[in-house]
Amino acid sequence: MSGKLQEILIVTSDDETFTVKVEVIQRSAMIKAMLEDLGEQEGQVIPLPNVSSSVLTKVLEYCEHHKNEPLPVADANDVDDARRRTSEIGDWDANQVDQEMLFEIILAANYLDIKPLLDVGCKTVANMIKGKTPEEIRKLFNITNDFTPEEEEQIRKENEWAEE
Amino acid sequence: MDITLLPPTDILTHHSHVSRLLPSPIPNTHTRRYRQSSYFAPTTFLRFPLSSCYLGYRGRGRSPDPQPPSDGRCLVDNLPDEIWLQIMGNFEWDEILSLRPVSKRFASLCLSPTLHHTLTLLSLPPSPLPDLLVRHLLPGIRHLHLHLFPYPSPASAGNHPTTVLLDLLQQLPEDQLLSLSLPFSAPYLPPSELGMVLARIGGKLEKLDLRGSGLAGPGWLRWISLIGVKGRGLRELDVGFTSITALPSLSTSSTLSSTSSFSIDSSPSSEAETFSHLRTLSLASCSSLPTAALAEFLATVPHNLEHLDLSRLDQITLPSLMALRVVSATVEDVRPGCTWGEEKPEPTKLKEIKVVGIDHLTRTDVRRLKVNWEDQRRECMPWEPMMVAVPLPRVWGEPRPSIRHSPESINSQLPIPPTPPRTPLQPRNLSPPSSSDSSPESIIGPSTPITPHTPHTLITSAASSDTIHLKGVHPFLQTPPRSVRPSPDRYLTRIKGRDEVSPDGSESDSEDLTRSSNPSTLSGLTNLSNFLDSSELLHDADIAREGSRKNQRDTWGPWERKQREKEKREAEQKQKMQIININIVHSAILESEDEAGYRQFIGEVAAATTTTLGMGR
Repeated sequence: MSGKLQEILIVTSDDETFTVKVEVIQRSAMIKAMLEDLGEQEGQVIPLPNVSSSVLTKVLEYCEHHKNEPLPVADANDVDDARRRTSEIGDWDANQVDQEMLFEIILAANYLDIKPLLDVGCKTVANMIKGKTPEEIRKLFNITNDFTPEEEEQIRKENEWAEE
Repeated sequence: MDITLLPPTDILTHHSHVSRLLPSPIPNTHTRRYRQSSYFAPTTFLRFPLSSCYLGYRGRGRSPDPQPPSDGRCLVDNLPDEIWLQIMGNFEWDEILSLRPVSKRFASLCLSPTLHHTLTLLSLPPSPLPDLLVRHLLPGIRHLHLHLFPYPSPASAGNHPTTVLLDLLQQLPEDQLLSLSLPFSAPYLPPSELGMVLARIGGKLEKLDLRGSGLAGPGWLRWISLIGVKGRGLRELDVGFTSITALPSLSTSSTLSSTSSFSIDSSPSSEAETFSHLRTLSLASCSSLPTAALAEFLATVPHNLEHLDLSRLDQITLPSLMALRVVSATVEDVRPGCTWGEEKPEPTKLKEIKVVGIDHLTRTDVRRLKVNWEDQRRECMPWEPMMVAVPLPRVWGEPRPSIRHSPESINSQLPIPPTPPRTPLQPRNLSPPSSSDSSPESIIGPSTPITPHTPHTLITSAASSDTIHLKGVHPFLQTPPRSVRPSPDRYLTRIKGRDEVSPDGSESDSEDLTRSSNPSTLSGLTNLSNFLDSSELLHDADIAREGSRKNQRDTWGPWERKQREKEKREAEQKQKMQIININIVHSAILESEDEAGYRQFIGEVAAATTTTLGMGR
């Protein structure tokens, strides 16, 4: 393994520096591509101005947890794969993270291009929404109802046939 | 948690329970109670059935939702539209629509065309069609599933179902659908209308499911050639349970000349073009198909077809199955218009054929079919890879008494006492590698090519389809590699005690072969091992060359190199086997149709259930 880059440094938006193993962080397609562009240098520093240290900690936990799995194929579309990922929601749901952190993780996963983590995050949000009435969803996310009663009635009528 | 308490389905589908028992860097805090309010949640995302709560499972229930910030901030706008679209992509179309009343942003997101590529309707929409459907859903649709069974009574529906359905299909943009399934729709659409609609919207169809539709007669050939011509081609076609009476004529100039009676309007070439993309075809239960049309079709089965369903087609004859095209004859046949290269037989892509519910097929027939098809494929395999597809040299070259692959050991694994006819085989057991004195020419001669049916091959193919235990040679086949296939099959060996009794022709046939050609097979195997040795040397040289190029490989020890070499060869062998293998899914129970086979079957059933009946044996 000589000459192979082992660790890199990541600087977060709040100026914390993380030392990260390459095999862990290459879950992020963005950083993987970046490393390939920059060439392999020991102690390479990568600034991530969009990611805070608390979020990066969570993201690294995820990467560490899944580092032994094969990197996802670009067009992995098969059902089994999706199902397997769905069953991983358990790692991320519930009171491990609050809503703000959950959204931050989703954004970071999107930014860093960690597709499985983005999927898990989106499925977690989907699970939160699933089966709730519009009113419950508004309450869940602190959304204000910006419809007039007439508009609401209009939508209800349009939706009628689909809800049978 | 005791996972043995879980229902088997949960262990299978939620196997991450097991992973939770393993050490994990992420703390697992799944000790919360199942939440009452989530009982109302729809089923798909509810990973645990309700009953499991009562049984005290504390698995992956729905946990409390992450709460919004207490200061009342709304974080929804933090996420861009693309992420909300991905979140909503986890829902069915009707669930998505039900999110519209949440807010204006949701309302517009919910009608985004990217969310509505798939539409599954379980009942007919009202008539006139809802504005939402026509304006927002149908224009973007790629996959349409109309599973409208059971049919509404004409009285209850305001409009005639045919009109509504036609209206719906007419609203679809031209040539946009990628898949359409309309199973058991006969009362909805008469075949002529169906053809017209499909000709308009089907230019890019890759998957078409018309099971049990109103298709009848030869008329469907008029429009089938138009399906998929503007896209990547039709991949899957299911016309099972219909009354079609004709199949496309696929023969090209290089193969059988076709009688054009089965092709109606369109030229055979365009049908052949359409069918050349097919991967999956089902003709199950098309009881009106004439025997001759089926026979002609089987002889010219498209090269790329991987799965063929012929279930319950009782009119198929055994000879026409035997003549199934498993090897395509020419290069032109494979890719039309290709100018390079010489004509070379090549196995077709067929992997699986279903012949379930064809009553006249017996187990013997199925075995013969398999042997016949696979023999044809073996013959056209390139010579050298064939060598690779043979047991590893270690079996012969090393002192280790690894006779796992030897045919005798197969027999000995079965609970059958050695029978008199077996004794001539005895020498083979002793020292296969040493008997290199017999001349190799006697094996490589054109009449008896080296047998690819080494015991190892036999094991693999037997394992690949659990219904087939023995390869017998059918007497009328006369396939060139009439090699020995020592029978590991208990049905046949059981009868061998009485030498003269043979349930069918193949039994005595293969027994003769076993006796007569035994020495040559023996030397054949030896010969193979020689080949293997030389090929191994070659591979070693290759590896050495590769190794000099790549730094990492330089460090490989000889053992590692050998190991890697072995893996590579095993992979190649596996690949070869996959190319040759045809899986036959069948429902044959009887060994043969004659009395002996029936008696044998009865005898086995009786022996399995009770020993006191005194039957059969």
